[in-house]
Amino acid sequence: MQILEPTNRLPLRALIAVAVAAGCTGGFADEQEDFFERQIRPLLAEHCVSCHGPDKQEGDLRLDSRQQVLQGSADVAALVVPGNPQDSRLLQVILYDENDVQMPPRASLPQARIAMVKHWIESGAFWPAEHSFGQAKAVDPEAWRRHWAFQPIVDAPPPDHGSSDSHPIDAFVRDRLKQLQLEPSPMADGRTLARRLSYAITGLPPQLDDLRAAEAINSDSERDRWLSSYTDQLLASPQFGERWARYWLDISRYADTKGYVFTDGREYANAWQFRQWVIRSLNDDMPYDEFLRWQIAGDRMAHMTEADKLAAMGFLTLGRRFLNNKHDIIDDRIDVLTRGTMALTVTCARCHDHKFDPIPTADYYSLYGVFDSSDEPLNGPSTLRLSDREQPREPVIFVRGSPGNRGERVTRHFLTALSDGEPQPFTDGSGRLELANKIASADNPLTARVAVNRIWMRLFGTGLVDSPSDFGVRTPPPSHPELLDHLAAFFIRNNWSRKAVIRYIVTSQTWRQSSQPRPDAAKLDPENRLLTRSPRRRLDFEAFRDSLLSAAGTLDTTVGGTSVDITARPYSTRRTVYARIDRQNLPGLFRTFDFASPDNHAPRRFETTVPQQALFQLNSPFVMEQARHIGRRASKQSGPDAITSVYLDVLQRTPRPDELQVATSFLQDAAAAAPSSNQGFGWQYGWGEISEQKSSVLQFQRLPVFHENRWGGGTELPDPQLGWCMLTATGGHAGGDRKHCTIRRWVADQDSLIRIDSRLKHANSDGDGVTGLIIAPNGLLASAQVHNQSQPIPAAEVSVVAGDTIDFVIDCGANESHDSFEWRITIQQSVDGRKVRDWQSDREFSGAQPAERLQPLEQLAQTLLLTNEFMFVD
Amino acid sequence: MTISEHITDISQILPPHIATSRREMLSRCGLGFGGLALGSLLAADSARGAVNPMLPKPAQMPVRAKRVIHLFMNGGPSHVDTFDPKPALQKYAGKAIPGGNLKTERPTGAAFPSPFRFRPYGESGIEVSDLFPNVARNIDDIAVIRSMHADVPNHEPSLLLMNCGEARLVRPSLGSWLTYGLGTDNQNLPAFVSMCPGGYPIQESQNWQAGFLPGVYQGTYVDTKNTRIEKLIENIRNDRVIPGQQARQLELLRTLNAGHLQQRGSDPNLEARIQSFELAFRMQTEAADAFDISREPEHIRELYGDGLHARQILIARRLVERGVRFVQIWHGAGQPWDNHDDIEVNHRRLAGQCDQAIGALLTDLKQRGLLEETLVIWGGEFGRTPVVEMPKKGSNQGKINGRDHNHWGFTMWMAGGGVRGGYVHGATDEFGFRAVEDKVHVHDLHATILKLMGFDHETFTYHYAGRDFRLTDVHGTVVEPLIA
Repeated sequence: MQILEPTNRLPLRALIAVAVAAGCTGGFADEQEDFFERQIRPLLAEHCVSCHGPDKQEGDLRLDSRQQVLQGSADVAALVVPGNPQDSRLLQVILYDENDVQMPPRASLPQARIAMVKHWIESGAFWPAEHSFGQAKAVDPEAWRRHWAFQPIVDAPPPDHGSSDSHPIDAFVRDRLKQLQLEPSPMADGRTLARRLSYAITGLPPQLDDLRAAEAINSDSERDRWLSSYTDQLLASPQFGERWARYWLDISRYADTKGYVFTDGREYANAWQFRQWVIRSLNDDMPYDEFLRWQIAGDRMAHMTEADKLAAMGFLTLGRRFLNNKHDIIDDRIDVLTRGTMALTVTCARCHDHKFDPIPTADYYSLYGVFDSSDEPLNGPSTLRLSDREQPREPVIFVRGSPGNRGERVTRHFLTALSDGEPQPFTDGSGRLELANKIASADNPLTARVAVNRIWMRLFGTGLVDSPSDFGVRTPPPSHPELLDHLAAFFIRNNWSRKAVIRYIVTSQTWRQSSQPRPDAAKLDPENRLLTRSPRRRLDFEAFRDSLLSAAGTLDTTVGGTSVDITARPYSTRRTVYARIDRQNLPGLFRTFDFASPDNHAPRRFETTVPQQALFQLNSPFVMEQARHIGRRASKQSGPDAITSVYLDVLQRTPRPDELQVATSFLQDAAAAAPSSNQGFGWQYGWGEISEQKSSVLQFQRLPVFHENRWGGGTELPDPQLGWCMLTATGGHAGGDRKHCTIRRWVADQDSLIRIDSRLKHANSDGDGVTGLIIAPNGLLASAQVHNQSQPIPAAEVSVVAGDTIDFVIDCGANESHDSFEWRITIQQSVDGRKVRDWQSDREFSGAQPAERLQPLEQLAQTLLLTNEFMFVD
Repeated sequence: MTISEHITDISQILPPHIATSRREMLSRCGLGFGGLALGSLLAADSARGAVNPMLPKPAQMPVRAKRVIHLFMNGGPSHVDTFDPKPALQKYAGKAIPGGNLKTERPTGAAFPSPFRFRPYGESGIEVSDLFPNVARNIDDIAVIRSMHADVPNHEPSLLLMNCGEARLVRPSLGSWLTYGLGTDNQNLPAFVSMCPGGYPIQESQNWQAGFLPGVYQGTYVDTKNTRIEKLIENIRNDRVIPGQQARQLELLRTLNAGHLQQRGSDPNLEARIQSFELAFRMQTEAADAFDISREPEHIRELYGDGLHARQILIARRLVERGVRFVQIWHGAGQPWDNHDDIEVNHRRLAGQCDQAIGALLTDLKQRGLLEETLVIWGGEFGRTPVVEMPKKGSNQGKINGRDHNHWGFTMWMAGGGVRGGYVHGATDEFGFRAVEDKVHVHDLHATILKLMGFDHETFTYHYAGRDFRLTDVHGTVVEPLIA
């Protein structure tokens, strides 16, 4: 049997080479451990341990024992010789040689897996010493009890480093830095901090006045005072709730629609009320425990009439409908609840006990029973709510997740892992209120930790725990465990105030550090988990779109309200948090900018850089409209002042001399490129007068009205002024005389060579036919007269410069009666011998006259909107 | 370090077989990014966040197929009228079949012989009905799987099963998995394109969803009813800035970003975004070119024929030729092949719309040497019953000349991409109701496709919500005989 070479297809070898070359020995073991834990240990568990493990020890072998595998025992030799696959018994037997023992006995492992084992042995057969196998279950069923996340929160005093007035967060962070002999970065400057604060708290750029105030401060103490009061001001603004509500909507897999439906209505008409409630509760700084209780059991806290408060339960009810499959709807609710509030992946236990965490299937179905005992109204103003059924339902385990396979009965109760001893059955209705109270409790070791970790992640980009929705036993410990507990305790002590935690974090020196790279720390702390500097952050979708509107001065700051389609014209100028989220047909724009998937609870956003993002910024009418606002405002001034105006709007600063120079020359070039007009390019629909020689257009005016798929003088035909003169996708009708010719105009968008092919058709034996004239700026290119016939107009090739016009003129001859015509035109355009575009008059026919081109200042504004300076926050 | 929810972390955005050490990246960043050429801005070169996750990545195993064209006959084409001849139906015409009917979505009646004639084609002599003569001419390059089966006789779950390997829950589609695993060879085009003329199939965009994978891996939907590039690809054209001027804007942008970068030292996120504008600028002409079939010579356009299906299938060839990883072509909005009535007329019409173009696609790929590494997949979400559907109020027009859904047994075929040509795999029973020999479940098909693309379906995983997910979940066996 041939073994697949693992070679460069597997990452480890490359990793080792580079890690060693870079002297990064500190990371080597991590990567090896990772490979072992992800690839080798699961493989052994799946294929070997049932016969060679804690239950059975066939051949006196245990493949869950590091000692047995690597060192052997008195009776049995080691199964693996690190670095030497050929002599390793483990590999020999899985190779399935016909002349040898073949393991696993039932069927050979896939080749790729054999290759992994070979590779593991070759690279040293790393097996971390301390853990025993099988996590909680196989060896020590109580091992999970030692897992950090299940321990009570311990509010240890911050380490003292001689500076008693230092912020406790800084004390914790510096304690770890000190162990590695690293220093924190210096504080960022006032301007940077004002911008950072404003985005962090409100998701919007700062006001210009605030930036100027921050820049003007000289002394450290004065700046601290100013930053502190600026922080309070931002936290008090309603924009805070809008920003931070969106984070909660990610967690809640918020959408305005139900997902795929067959015949039902698709809309969650009241979904926006949930968003509204979240925004308000954040702005009111509702204690987080209360915030959770409302969302889980608001029906037990409010009167039936308080529909606005009951909307809190949209947290549970706004998921996909799964074609009304109850089991999947409940599964979705269990998932959003348990990962969202406690970072436990309870839904892993739907089909079997959780593989790693102490979550038995019975716990899953006990929560299933809670939701199965809760109804939701289908009509009326409070459709987002749940209420307890009169008779709660007693859940049974669905064996392997299959509702048809009913297993033992379970009670409705809270998670075993978070209970003292056996969990007690819920007694109050469905148990939802009891469940809410168990979650929203200072005694729950997870809830507060998960919440402060999420806040930390939003502020630093990475959580203290790097898996914000999975605190299970397989997740790595927090980077700063004591700090996590300190913050959780602070949170509870401050009445679960999220504003207090945010304020506490952003007033630390750690948060206020510079974001400049730290080459000295990069090797020891490549991911900046130890926080030797502040991370540079890219604007997310909402902050990006809101910033465009803010720079343009068009942002609508109304707080609250129903959802708006932000992709439809005329473009909404509302904040992005109010965007209608159609989960089934989420517009490409959202996906392109890494918006949270509305299908599942989203712990955090992906961050990708793809050309579609750049295409949107370069070409979307929305972005160009914002640029136009900025450019128009600037155009009231001239020279450097106009440039400064654009800089102040977009980058909120004045240009440096070199930037002024570059921008000036850009504007000059732009003006030179299109000296004649600001007209759009492509097709235009008009009428006008031609010269007596019929070789030039003396006057061109646009046809004023588009009606019933044609451009004409008005909605009626004939029009009192322009008569029958009109244009359609394929042709039109001639005007009355030489002064009222029908003209389809094409405007060149770039310097190019064009070839014009067209066919003119007149399909009526009456009248005297029409003449088609193709007129370029320097004269007639081609023409043809047709009467009850169709004929091609000789192809013409001509060089054009951007802005040149080609007019396709219909001359009616003696009179305009019976002068309907068809004229399909193709313009093949090439630049430097390379074909760039085909223009087709029928395919590209449009009811909109071409948009006006961006003026030079508007182009400058757009370019600044594209810069990294605009898009990143230092 | 366990890789769990490091979402902005490269190890999360890239598949585990690629995810590289952040330390490796660091050492590279130490060299300075600025000096690297554009093409070397490899995905694996950056540590956290903003990298282009679409750059090409190697597979786990040797690769047979580099890209896929999936011709989705949505609604469910009848196998006994196309690729699975059943003479026994003639014998029992109008009579109940022995053993009784299997339960499908709706009531069914007597045996309903195919109104279409089957005949052998090629050296292999595989029989195909006269609905697909042009496809049949390529039969020696095709592996016909006559023993497909799925789980339920309903469109929605079966579509999701076929596309995402899971009938109900939100899971990534096959195309998303493959673009996640392999990236794409052309950065100027979307990596995963799903074309459907006139609207969506049922289950809509869920058919090409990325699920819990990053959103960039979702299929880009293209409505091929449109012929204009600006309708086909969002923001591909600019109607207010002329191309020459846009080039000047980019030049200015380059200068400004360079100054910004210089003040901030090396930062891969800043660099990646700078590069993305260069790519976007080129994409404007490349994409327009790829979707414009008027650039094909006359004889090629004639080969594919006229009409919308010819156009989208020819576009598919232009896309894979340019390195697009996964192209899915839907027959039309809704469920066109769902012929509960008038199956003779409707199947003839539907096959007539696409047979010539599909045959042309296979011929054309082959003559270009592309068939070897392009996997072409044909089929619906299930097949149809060999027995007639009975009239039922509200569900058909009472004509008694159509067939109901059939998930018990149906046919799909594959060609190219390392597939064994001129081969029939498996069989349905005497009447074509149920797959009985060498049965191939949808999960098995997925496992096989993944293998052809260089992945072991059991270890090609994504860690999400506490566990490692696979396309095939806990199922699937590679169907080795299908592989040449």
